[in-house]
Amino acid sequence: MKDKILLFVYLSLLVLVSLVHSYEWLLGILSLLCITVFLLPLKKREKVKILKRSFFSVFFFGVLVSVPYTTVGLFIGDNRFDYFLMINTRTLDLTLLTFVFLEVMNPFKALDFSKNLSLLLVITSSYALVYNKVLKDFKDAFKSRSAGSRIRGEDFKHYLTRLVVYFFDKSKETSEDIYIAMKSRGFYYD
Amino acid sequence: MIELKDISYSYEGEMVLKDISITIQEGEKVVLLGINGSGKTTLLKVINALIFPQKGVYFYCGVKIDKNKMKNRDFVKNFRKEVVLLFQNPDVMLFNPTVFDELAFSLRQLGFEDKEIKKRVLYWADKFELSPYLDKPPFKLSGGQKQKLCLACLLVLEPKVLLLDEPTANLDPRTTGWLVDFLYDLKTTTIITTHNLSLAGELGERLLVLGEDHTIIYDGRVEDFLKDEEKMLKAGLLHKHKHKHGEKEHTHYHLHDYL
Amino acid sequence: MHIPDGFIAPQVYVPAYFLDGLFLIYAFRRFKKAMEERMIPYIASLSLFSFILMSIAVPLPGGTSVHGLGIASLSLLLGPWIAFICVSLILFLEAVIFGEGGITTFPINSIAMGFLGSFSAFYAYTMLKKFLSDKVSLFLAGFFSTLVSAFFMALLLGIHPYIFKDASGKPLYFPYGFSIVMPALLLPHLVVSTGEGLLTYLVVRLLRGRISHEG
Repeated sequence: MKDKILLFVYLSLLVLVSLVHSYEWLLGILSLLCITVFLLPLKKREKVKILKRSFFSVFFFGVLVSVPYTTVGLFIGDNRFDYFLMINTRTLDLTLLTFVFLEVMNPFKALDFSKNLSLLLVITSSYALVYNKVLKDFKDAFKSRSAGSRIRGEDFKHYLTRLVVYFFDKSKETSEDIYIAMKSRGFYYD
Repeated sequence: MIELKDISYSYEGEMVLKDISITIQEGEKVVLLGINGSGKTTLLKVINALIFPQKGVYFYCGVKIDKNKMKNRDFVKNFRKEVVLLFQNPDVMLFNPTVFDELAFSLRQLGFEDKEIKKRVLYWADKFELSPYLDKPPFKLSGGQKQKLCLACLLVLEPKVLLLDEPTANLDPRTTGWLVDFLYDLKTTTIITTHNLSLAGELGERLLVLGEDHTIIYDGRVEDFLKDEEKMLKAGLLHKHKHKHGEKEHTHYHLHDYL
Repeated sequence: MHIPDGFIAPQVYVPAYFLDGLFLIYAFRRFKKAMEERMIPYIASLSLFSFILMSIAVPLPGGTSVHGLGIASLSLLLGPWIAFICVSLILFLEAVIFGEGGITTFPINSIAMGFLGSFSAFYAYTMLKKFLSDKVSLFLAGFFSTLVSAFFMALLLGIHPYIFKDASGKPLYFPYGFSIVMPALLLPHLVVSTGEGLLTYLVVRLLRGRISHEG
C-alpha cells in the first residue's frame, strides 16, 4: 500500500512541477529536492551518484536545445535567459524527482494492481541484467581476439549473425524456463 | 613481465578491485583464487586491457598499458597476439561459421599469412582432437569440446601470457584431468582463476588470493596457504556446517573436495 | 531518442499515457486469449530479445556505426501487436527500472516507436513486397518505420511552441517549431534509418526460418 501511495504522490508532483513556469519557483524546488537527496538513508557516494546521474541525463539534450535557442535570442535582441533557466531547472527537477522516488518506492509493488504487469516487469528486468552481461562478454571476447579498429566486414557480419541467433535461441529457452518456473509455483490464468 | 601497481577498479559505484599490486615473471604459473564476486574476472580483464582501472598503473613488459596505448594499432596487434584471455562462458567466444574459421579468426585478424594459418590451425585442431569437426559450426560442439576449441583458438597465436577464467567450472572430471595435464606441460606464463580450492594446487605453484574486501590477501606458495586455516576463513573459502562422521554429528571448519 | 522530462507539456503526455495504456491493454487482451498461461513467458523473452537488438551497433559504410532498434524486425517476424508490447515493455523498464529517466516521454516513445514503428514496418513491407524484391522490401520497411517514428516525434515536439506559450509568446516547453525540428530530427535519422534497414534485413532473413509460428 505504501508504494502505491508514494506512486500517487510522485505522479501528482510530476504533473504539478511540469506546470510550473517560473524559474524562481523551480530553483526553489530544486533546492528542496537536493536537500531531500541528502536526507535519504543512503551512503554519501550513492547520494552523489543520484545527483550526477540526474545531471548527465538532462545535460546533453538540455544543452542541445536551450543553448542555441538562447544564443539566437542574443543576436536578435530577445532576452531568453528566463527560458534557459526555466527549461533546464524544470528538467533537472523532474528527473531528480523521479530518481528520488525510485529510491524510496518499490516500482514492482507500486504497479502490482495488475498482476500481469508486475510479473512481466520483475521477470524481464531480472533476466535483462543477465542478458546484458552476456552481451558485454561477447563484445569483450570479440575485442580480445581482434586487432582493434580494422575489422573485416565479413567477420563482423559473422559476429552479428551469431549474436542475433544466439540471443534468439536463448530467449526461446528463457521462455520455456520461465513457463516451467511459473507453473511449478502455481500460476494459473482464469 | 606483468606489473600491477595499486590498481583499483570500481564499477557503478561498487569497488571491485582495491589496491592490487602484483608482479608476475615470465614463465610463472599463477593461480588466482577467490570466492565469486571477489573480482577475479575483472582482474583478468584489466590484464587483457579490456577495461582500464581508475587508479594505479599496469605495465606489460615495461610498457604502460592505458587507453591511449591501446589506440596504437601496431601495439594492439602485438599485444593481442601475446596476451590472450579464455572467457568463462565459451559461447561468448565462438561466432565463426566453421571450427576452421574459428581457429583461423585471430590469425587472420592479426595479419598472418594463409599458409602459416593453415599450418597452425591443423596442428592445434589435431592436438585438441577437433580435426573431425573442422567444417562444422562451433556452437554444435559439446560443452567440453567448445572449451577445448576456445583454448585452441588462443593457443594458435602462440601467446606469451595465457589468462584463463574458471576453465574447469563447466568441465567433467575427465576433461578437467586432461586440462590440468595439458597446462602442466605448457611453458607459457599462465594466470588461472578458480574458486575451487582443491584444484588450486594442480594449476600452478604461486597462489594469489582475492579476499571479500577485493584486495590481495595472500601471495605465496599454494601449500602454505592450504595449511593456514585463518587465511582461508578470511577468504571465505572455508566453512562450517553440521555434518556427521559416522554416528557423531558436529561442526568444524572444513573444505569440500571437488575431485 | 532519449528526450528528458520537461520538454513535453503535461497536456500532451497525460492524454498520451491514457491512449498508450488503452492500446497496450487491447494488445494484451488479444494475446491473453490466444496464449493464456504462456503469454507472460512469451512476452518477457521476446522483450529480452528486443532489448538485445537495441544494444547492437550496426556498422555503416563510411566508418560510423549506429544503434539499431529492432522494432521493424520484431514486427515482421512476429506481428506488429507483439512488437508493440515488447518494445514498450523495454522502454518502460529502461525509464523506470534502469533509471534512464524520461517517465513523461515514455508514452510518446511507446506510441511513436512501439506502435507506429511496428505497424508502419508491417504495412510498408506488405505493400512493397508486391512489386519489389524481398531484400529491398525488408530494408525499406526498417528504413521507413524509423523515419515514421522520427516524424511523429518531430510533429509532437514542433507543435509545442505554437500551443504552449505564455502571454508574451515565449515558449513554455520545447521551443522550436516545425521548420526547425523537422529537418533537425529527420536528417540525422536518415543515418539511423539506414542502420535499421540493414539490421531488419539481416535479422528477418536469419530468423524467419526458425519461427514455428508460436501464436
